[in-house]
Amino acid sequence: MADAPASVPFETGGALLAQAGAARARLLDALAVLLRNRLAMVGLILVVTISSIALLGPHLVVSDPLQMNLSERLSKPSSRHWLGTDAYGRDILARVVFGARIAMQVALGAVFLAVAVGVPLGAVSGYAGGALDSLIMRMIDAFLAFPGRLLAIALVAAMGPSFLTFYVAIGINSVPGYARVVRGGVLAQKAKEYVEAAHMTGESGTRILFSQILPNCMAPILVLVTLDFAHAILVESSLSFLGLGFPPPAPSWGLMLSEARGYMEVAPHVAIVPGAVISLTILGFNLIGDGLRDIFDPREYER
Amino acid sequence: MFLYVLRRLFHLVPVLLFVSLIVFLIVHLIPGDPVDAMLGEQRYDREQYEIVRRKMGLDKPLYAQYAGWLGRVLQGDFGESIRNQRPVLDAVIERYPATIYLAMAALLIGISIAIPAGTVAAVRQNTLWDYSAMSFALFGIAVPNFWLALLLILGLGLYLGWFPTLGYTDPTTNFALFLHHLALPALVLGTDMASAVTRYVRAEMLEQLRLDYVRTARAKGLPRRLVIYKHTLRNSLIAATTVIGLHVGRLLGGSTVVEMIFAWPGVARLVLDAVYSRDYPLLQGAVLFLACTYVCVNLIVDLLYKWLDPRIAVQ
Repeated sequence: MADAPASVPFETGGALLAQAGAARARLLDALAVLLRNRLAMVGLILVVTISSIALLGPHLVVSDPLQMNLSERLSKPSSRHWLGTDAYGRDILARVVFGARIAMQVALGAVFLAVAVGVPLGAVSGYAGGALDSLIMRMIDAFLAFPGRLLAIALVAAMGPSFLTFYVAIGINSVPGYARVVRGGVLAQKAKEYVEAAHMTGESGTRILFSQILPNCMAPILVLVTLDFAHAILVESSLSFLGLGFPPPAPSWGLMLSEARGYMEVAPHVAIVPGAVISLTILGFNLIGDGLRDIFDPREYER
Repeated sequence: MFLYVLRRLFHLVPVLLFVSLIVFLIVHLIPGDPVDAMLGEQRYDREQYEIVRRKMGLDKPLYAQYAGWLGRVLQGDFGESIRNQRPVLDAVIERYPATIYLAMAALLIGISIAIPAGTVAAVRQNTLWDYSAMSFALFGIAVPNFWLALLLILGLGLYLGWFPTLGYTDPTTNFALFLHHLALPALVLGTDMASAVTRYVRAEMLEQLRLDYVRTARAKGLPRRLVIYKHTLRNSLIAATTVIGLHVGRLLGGSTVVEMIFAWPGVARLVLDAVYSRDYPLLQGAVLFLACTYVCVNLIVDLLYKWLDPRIAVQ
């Protein structure tokens, strides 16, 4: 699947047709193409910015995101509070910065869990074939049939808000996507000559699967990972917006928006800032995902 | 086709069993004692505790609980709300019309934006039309529903005062007022759907426009407009049914965020109320109902697609 893109829109497309061993070179090529794609660049800048904020921000911001100051309630952006303050006089910039950390941590954990479960499942399913394959795929299909958002809400409602709950509630929803894509990739690669050659050198099946075949299935996984980051951030903020996330006064973006609802008319910035930050983050990941999908086969990985 | 439908229905059985198992297990994920969690802060004595415990069947082993629960569900007994002792199914059915109205309105808005926008974007690829349509689609994908809802409430509701910012009127009592209340939530969900479908219609149109039959049709002298609107668009829309169907399935499950913001009394709001009040039987019953609806809607969409495009291989 990933080895023969139907329409590679760029001149480096030929290089993308590499076989085993060239996986890394192919990813580098993809990166080069990505860098030339202006929209994807915008996405990359957005994501790098948000990630750095999440990583370094709490050390750079002086204000305490939880420090209330009722004499400065709902103040407009100023030199003291660059993005203004919320209904409790807390600095919105500080809250957005600390919120970035929550959002990114949840997304990272959820995506990691989805990859860690979905990729081996799909790989084993595709490589083993037969009854095991049917069993795994039936389970995956049944899982896909379950409405994801509802499952997330039910899980969070039952398990209570914690990082682990979010990883599971959000990540579990993406597992089928990885399993299916990886299975497809493994099936396509399995028939290739290099796999046969590896078999003849006496390598074990597990080793061939994980060190030879899987690296060649990386492209679609990468696309899914970027899109899933966007999805995880969206779900986390929705859950906190609904009051199912971390309890107040946690500086979660969704919770900030939810708290702003009552004050929108008098102080629109309280609702605009966190919403804009969520949107820009989701936009960034989506732009990168789109860029990557354009490079690899655009039709194969539609979800 | 008949055999295909039968086979798909047969495949539905394990899926629904799996769905029911997950829904069943949710209650058992509650840390600690679910009865305690449910009775919550209210003061209760041993007797009340035992009543709730027995009512939920928690005094039996897990497999017996599941079997008993599933047996009752199959007879249409989705359990009873802990809070007001009403049958869950009644509550869900009472709330469902509001969600269906909202879903239909959103579908209508979504399709009437997405199909023209996607078509124009493809036919005039790389023009201002295309860029505007694609920017709209990106905007719709990046902006979460709850933020769009707040922005619309702020702009169209509070500043301009065109629409009420929350509430619901039954269409049978006052249809005009019903539409008035419906406008903003439907616009939010419609935009969300339109953004995904626009991209899909555009991509599909571009794909179709490259195919041989288009060249043949043009070569034999058919005007471009006719080829596009009669042939290409039709084929693209067939492909778009799957994506649209997926959204219909999602819309019929209700949008928790939108129903909460606009105080829309649909099923998603019911689920949320169940979560807030720790009414786990209600949560379980409502989630099961919605999940089954979702599965069935998706099957119908699949069958519809197969009927529209008989080339789809029977797996």
